[in-house]
Amino acid sequence: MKSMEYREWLDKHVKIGKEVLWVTQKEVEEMGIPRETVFELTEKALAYHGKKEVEMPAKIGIHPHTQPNTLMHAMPGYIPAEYIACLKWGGCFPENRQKFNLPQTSGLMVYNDHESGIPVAVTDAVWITKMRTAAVSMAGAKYLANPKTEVAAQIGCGVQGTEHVKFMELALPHLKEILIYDVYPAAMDALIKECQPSVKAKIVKTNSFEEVVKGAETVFSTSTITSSPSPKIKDEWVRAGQTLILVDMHTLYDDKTMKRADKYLVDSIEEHVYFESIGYYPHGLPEIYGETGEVVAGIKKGRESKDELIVDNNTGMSVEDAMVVKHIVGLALERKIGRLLPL
Amino acid sequence: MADVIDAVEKGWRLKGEGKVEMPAKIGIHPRKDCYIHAMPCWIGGEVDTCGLKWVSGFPQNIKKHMPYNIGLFILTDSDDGHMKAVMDANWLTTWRTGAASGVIAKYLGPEAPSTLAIIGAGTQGRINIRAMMSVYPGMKTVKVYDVMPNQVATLKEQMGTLFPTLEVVGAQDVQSACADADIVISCAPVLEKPVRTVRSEWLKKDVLCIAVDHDSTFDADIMTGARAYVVDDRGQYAYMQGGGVYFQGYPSERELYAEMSEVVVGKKPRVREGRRGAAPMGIACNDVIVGKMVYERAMAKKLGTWVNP
Repeated sequence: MKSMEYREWLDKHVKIGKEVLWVTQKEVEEMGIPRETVFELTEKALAYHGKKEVEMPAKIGIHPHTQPNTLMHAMPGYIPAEYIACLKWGGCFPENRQKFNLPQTSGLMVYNDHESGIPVAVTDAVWITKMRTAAVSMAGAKYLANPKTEVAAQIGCGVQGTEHVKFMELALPHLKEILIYDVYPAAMDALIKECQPSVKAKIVKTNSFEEVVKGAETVFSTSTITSSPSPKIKDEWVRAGQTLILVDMHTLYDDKTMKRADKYLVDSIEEHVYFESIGYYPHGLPEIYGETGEVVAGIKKGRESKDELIVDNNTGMSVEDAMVVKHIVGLALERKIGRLLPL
Repeated sequence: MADVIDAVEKGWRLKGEGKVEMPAKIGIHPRKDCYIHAMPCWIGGEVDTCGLKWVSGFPQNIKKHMPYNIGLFILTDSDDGHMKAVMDANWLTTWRTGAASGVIAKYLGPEAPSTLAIIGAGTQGRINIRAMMSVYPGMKTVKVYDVMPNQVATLKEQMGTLFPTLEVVGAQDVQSACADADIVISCAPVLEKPVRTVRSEWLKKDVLCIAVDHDSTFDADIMTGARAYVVDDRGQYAYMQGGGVYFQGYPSERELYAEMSEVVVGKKPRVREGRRGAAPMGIACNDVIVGKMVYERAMAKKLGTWVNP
């Protein structure tokens, strides 16, 4: 579909400039979008980013002092080839559960007509964030991990950890076991109960960071990001050939491990250099081999030997949300989900 | 308007007290000369509200009979980060921009001006007159210049109804509009290559010049030679000037007299004589405090639509 044809199609369903489509979190969840689709869309987003075919300024944010480690990020993204212009406004307030019995994460997407800049849809961003975050890790694993990985590890068994386990076999089809670890044992039990019915590999609890890291070839970590690292995983527990996929920056790992990796990748160099400037990497960023999207796009090589130690550090990019929200808006309009509000 | 001016002033006071977190805005540019900007802000203190404006400016839209600027404002709870409301952003953009000029006049304007000049008679020209009339109800004359005479006629009609005591004069050219003015406000379209039309020698010795259109109207020496030149946010100004497009030839961030929040909290004294210049670019802090006001009034009057999950 050409750009103006896409606009006309949108305008047929939502009168651009007069109406805006609103899709709630529940409606997004009930669309039943398969993980395969999210994985595919996320890989595409990463490839566009790798090829520099997107406009994505480094995200900015605010940090209200009402709780420790809060964040609200504004994340605009533009993918010309897909006619997507959109924004995510979302955040995480870690103490919400205890204080208000509310989820930690919140967020909305605004989807704009890229020809006129006019908002066309407002949708939930929480489901999108959860799914695409796991999908980015899986893209990292697909291109950087040993493709024959039989044992993977998941550190952190909250919402993200659970989603990672559900996604894992899409990237690592030979998995036999998924070792999990969380400082709260109850979170591990809950993860197994939630995931095991749909996951073929056996999900196995472990008792320590040491056990979980030593036992696996590919290690995913999704703990809570702290404003500076508080290493829990000793350098000597990490060996050649492993792939470490980080959703929680350097929170858990020793700086030595990060710096001795044969390949160290991030999703956006610009973004991580910015994080470095505001203190998230007090020991400095390691030398960056490339961006995750460059490997997905085939511009840079992924894993080249079975002995490489590879670290892939992703904090999420607006272009990933952008690909998924376009799909959601399309489905909502086709299936008449959501409601039209006056703009 | 008085309430909006008070709100903007309060936002600037909290900013001056270091209770506002406002990163420089970022954006995307899907078409030539256009933008969609993301403008987040947290105002702490007694306001304690987060919000974000996502607003576009697409000049080609006018030819297609669509609005140049359009956007949404999202009001966000400071305690838990959840979204409280999504609302139109155009009204609040227009009004907070006018109100910002009102606050600037309160602190840097003359005691009792009699003549106001408005260059550019569109939405901003009209709202800026309303802001000045709120601060100076005794203002006698406004001289208005616009390249399109029908804009001046519309303005005359509207302002005549709102302010019967105000004499509204259509000026033949920019020079005659500025000649006797105590306050000159420029509200022309913002251009990447500005055609600056106001010369410093046309202005009175004691004058307040407010550039609502970045650097599109006032010659650079008006600002470089001003006794005091202020902006609304130092970071945003340095970022924009550093981009190499806007405010070229204007004073650098280090040469500023102050940002407005510093004047409002008294870190920098008011200046009421000589030539004073101001270039309010429009900042998220103003949007959030006015957005909160809109939200509270909508709740009180039960306006808007609830979306049920």
